[in-house]
Amino acid sequence: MDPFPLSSELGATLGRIRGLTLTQETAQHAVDLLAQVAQETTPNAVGAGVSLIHDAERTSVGATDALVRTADDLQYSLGEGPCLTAWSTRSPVTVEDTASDSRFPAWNVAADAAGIRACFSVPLMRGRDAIGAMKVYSTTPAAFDESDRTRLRSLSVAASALLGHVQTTDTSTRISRELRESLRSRDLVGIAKGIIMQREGLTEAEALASLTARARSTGIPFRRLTAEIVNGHGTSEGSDA
Amino acid sequence: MAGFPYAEEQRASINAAIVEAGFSTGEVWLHYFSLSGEVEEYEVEAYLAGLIPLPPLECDLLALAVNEMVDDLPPRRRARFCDDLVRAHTGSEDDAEQ
Repeated sequence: MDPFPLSSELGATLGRIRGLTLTQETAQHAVDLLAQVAQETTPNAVGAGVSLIHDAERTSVGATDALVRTADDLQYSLGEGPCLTAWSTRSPVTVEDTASDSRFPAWNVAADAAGIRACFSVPLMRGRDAIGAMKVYSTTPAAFDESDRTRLRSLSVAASALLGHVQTTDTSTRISRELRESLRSRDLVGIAKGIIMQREGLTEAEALASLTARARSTGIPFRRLTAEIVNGHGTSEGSDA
Repeated sequence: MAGFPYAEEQRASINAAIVEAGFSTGEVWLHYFSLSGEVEEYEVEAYLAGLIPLPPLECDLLALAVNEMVDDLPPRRRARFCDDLVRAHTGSEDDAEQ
């Protein structure tokens, strides 16, 4: 037997975790660049922005200019706006004219006062989760047509694929927690196997087979079953014949 | 381990369960690993694709892992009976009456 079973596998998993966590600066650089690309692909936009959002808080913001920045900040201070809605509903939001739109009363007034008249925002999706929003702004109403919207939607797919890997240290803590739990659980199975081997005079493989059979017949999750055996609650009741 | 005759049938059923539930090989492997599975993710993937066989005990462990994950899926929405609705709308006991 390999004295360090799966060590290469664990190495790969850990490597994957490290690969997932890009630093905050890298994330910032990525959103800045993407905001720039969004603007360049949308000729009618005066500015563009990309925000990463986690639990309704922005974690990184990229903006092409101060106006975009202002319009974006207003959404978060007012708690409403096209990007927040695009993010929370996971679907694109168009504001044709901030002077007449009724969905975001406070934001529309403030954005209009700052000079922004139109906005189009698409969510950035990773699987089923929205991880942020990409948006373009204009100082003229109804500035974006269907082809602008289609182009930005396509761009958002590519941007999501990139930014999905940027998502903060949160992802890596989650993965390392999962890995720790999984190692703990594996440990319990190992100990339970040893107990069964000793108690019932079985080989390792027989002990494992006996444990899985027990889990199947009782419907108790394997982890709980082995934990109970390790904690001394799992009596040797009717093992295999 | 000379050929378990229904190995292919078992493989297909494990794979079908994974596909139907929409699990990734990675998450299935992690759970299988936590149940003391000995085979690497890459090989599990190859097994699921029908490229290599695995020892029967590992197959069973993989099946157990998948089944536990399936059991953990949120239950589907259930329909309600007449008396459920009556109870829900009148409050549970005699202070109901509306």
